[in-house]
Amino acid sequence: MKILAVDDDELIREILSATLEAHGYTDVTLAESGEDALQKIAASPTPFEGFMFDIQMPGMDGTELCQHVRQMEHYKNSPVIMITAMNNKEYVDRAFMAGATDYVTKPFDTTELMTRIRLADRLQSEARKAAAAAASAPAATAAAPKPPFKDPVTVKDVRGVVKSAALDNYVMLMLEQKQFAMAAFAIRVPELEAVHAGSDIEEFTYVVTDVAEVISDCLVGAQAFLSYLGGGVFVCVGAKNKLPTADSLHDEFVMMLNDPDLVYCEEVATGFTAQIGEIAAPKLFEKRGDLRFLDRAVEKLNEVSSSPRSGGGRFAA
Amino acid sequence: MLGEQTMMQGMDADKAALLEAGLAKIRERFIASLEDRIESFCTLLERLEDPETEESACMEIRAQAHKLHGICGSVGQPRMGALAAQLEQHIDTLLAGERPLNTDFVDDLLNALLDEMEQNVDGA
Repeated sequence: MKILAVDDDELIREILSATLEAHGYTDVTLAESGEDALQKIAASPTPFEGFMFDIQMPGMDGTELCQHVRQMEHYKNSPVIMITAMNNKEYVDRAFMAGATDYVTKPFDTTELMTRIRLADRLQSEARKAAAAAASAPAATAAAPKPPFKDPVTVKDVRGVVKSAALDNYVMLMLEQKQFAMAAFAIRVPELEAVHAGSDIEEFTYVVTDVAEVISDCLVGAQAFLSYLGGGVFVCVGAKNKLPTADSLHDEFVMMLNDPDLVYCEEVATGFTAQIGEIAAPKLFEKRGDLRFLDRAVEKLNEVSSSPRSGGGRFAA
Repeated sequence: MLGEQTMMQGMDADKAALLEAGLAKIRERFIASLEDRIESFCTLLERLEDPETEESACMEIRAQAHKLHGICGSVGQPRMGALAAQLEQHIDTLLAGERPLNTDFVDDLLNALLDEMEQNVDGA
């Protein structure tokens, strides 16, 4: 994997380089600042396949750099691992909102560092294989069936919305740093199934994105992140004492869902309803890094659903 | 610490030895860098005494402590790292609070950190 590692501390760059090289990652480019990184990305004859950005750097910080990289077509889905020595939630929130997919903490623990790199490597390899397969069979791709309803679609450019894997990584970091009491709840919009059936994948993604935006707006002030799991289900994570209850959220949420200025659905005429699960929190006996409360949030949603569960679970993808 | 964990990663002995040698050099360079870091902190201590420059001095001390905190654990200096982290966190709290700043505890924490750094320079 071709990696670009960015840190303003020369010794940290050298530690990263030495450790990565010793573990077989020999194609590592180092940059000393966000500005330097952008120059090296522009000048690189072949694209990078993974990034490591220090969050706090003078000038352009790692979060801003991540935003720039995410705006580049080639790097929209590349693994971006943030490097952080800080336990300041605001910095970490901003990094994940900017598109970070994972993190490592300084001082480095080799096991943790290499686990993160190998995970990024695996994701990148899978993405590369999929892209190669698509490129080698354009006719087949054109005729490919629409992804099933239970699969997630990628929601872009909505505040607080991240992919499921990034949400897991964010929650693990927050639990590890004991920043605050976390909790989660899940929302299902059942009519998305009809929208999926009656429209193409592009239109369906637009509608899911609109719904995600409405959820995000409803959660302003709750320091929440959310992810679309597929099957019309969204999971929302945030500070336990700031998340709204199902009852307090429901009416306003449904009203906003049915405002055509907020959720525009051209292909399928439908009114929207919502099922909102109760809040689930980590249990006292659960270890840090235990994400079962996210599954419980989806289970609580299923308890309130009158129709059979269609999402296929949190890890449906 | 990085060096102590490398063998746990299943690397072959040659690569582990190479990495250990590389990290040993980085640790040496870190110790060699301490005098410059101490001098920089001492300059900032002086600026901390002047109400006109105390806030900017605090921000600069925080930035340098942050860097130190990030590197110390990887170069076998956990105590120095902990002191740097404590200083960084205290300045974060201080800067988020009321003005005028009371920098007395910044002074104390920085002096404790400087003592630790000087001991390492003396012991090198």
